[in-house]
Amino acid sequence: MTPLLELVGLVKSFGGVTASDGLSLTVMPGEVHALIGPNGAGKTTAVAQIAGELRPDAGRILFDGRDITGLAVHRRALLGLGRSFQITSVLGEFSVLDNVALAVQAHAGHSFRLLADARRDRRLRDPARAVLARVGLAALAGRPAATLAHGDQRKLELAMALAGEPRLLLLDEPMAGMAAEDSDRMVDLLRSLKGTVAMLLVEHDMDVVFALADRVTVLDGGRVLASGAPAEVRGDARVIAAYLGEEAGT
Amino acid sequence: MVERRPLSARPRLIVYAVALLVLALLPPLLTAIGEPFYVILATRMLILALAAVSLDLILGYGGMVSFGHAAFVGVGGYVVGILAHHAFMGEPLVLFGLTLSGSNEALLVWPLAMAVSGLAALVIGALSLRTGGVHFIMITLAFAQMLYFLMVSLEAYGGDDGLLLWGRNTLAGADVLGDRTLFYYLCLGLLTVVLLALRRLVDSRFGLVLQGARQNERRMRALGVPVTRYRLAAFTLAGALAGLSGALAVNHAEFASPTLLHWTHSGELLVIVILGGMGTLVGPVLGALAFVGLEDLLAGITEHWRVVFGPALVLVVLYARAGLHGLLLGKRPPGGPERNP
Repeated sequence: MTPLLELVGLVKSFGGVTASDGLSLTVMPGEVHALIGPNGAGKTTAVAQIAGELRPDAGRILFDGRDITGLAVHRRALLGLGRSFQITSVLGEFSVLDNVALAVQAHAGHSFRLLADARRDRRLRDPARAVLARVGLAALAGRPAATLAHGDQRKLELAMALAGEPRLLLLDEPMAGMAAEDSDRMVDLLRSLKGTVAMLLVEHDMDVVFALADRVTVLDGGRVLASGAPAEVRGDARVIAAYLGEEAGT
Repeated sequence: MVERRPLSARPRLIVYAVALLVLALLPPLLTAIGEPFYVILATRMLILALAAVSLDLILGYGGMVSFGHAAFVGVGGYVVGILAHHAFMGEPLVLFGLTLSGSNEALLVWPLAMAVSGLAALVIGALSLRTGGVHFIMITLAFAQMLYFLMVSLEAYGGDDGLLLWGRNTLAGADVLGDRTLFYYLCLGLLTVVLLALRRLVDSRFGLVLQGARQNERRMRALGVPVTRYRLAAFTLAGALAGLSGALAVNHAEFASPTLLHWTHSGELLVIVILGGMGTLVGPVLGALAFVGLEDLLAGITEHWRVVFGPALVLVVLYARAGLHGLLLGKRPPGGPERNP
């Protein structure tokens, strides 16, 4: 089977700091692949290169067998790369429904429709409502997005990513800043999506990682320290030394 | 602090309809109170309002702080001026090996003015939109000043002194635009059509993308939207509408001058949009009415009118964040629940 996402020897440095140092990994279709590592391990840089916000100095990125190393951010999104941001990133002045309807619209093709009222377009509103129902935000559809609680904004982010019918979800700490209860609900939500869409999950919380991931890759200093099933990685002596031990100690 | 609660859709429509009715009845009213010449001032307000509304599309909805919008007004104005000049002199205009005869026909010259201004906006926008923030402000200012100096250098068309027209354009061959009442109604009609069209535009798919990109460009790209393309389209459209305003302004004054393009004029347009209320379309019309009205009033009282004018503007911007529009009608609800059928 061809991997859905394949990173081949990515190198990216900023001045003297090498944030990606020959990074290679794969995400198989339908797989939840967690990317973990201590702060400064190069997780965010890896995500930015996959999304297209940073160009690697060397190496290639393949999506479904196609080289997307030089492709613009929006082109990658249209190929099926959905994204949630580490820092909540919604359109605050728009209603919750507007946010998701815009995501549907972006996926539907060009937006050079100049006169018809997009807020009365059932082809946008109906699918958007369906996605909101899926993430449990249907009751808040009319609220301006900026007025939502933090946990709900994170859900909205996920809804916007899902509305584009992605094949790979790039989730950069989807639980960041969430209360325990919200975080549990988000884990349930992501678990319910398992199998329908592949995920590359960057996460600090080990409980979340081991609850969701089919495969775990540990980064350290911009390269892969270990990769494998959660149980294997958990038992790996180098990983414990670099990362998990530190976590267990605190 | 002084913003009202937003009016819902129906009362808002009634307010707009009454305002339009007042503007439509203005010429006979002014004649009735024995001040018919104020129609000239009112026409100037409407023409300036058209330019301000076009700027609001990119500034208020698109978040593009263009400090060079007057350049497109001026380019449109010069298209009218130069073609009228050639028509009067009876000699063709030779441009890049192309021979154009001059013309005084509004139905030909005004769309041409919009096209040339739109083209200028397309080129300047394509280069400027590679940047953002303060750089965008500065680069649009720089391009506008380049065009300003280009007009100053056109000795054949009056250079620094500008270009005097020998009368206004004809409309479908009829020499009727010299009638100040008819010209007023024409400007009012064009402004109304533009407002209605832009109202539709900002709620369309295109308009939502434009507003989304203002709120969060990174998110829009991640959703799969080529943001720059939409911004450039809006910038070009705004430039074309500014060109129409320029064509009207030159007809109104029967004079085209490089000051049309000067950066202070671009600054005035920004002030008018902010004063009236950004992202409201109708607000900039209020802004233009207030701006021209105050300028005229204060200039009649003292030659140092700017001393009063400046602080008055500062006060409105400080204490009425949504501008005059927010003061009178309340802030527009951002696609609130009642707009989601």
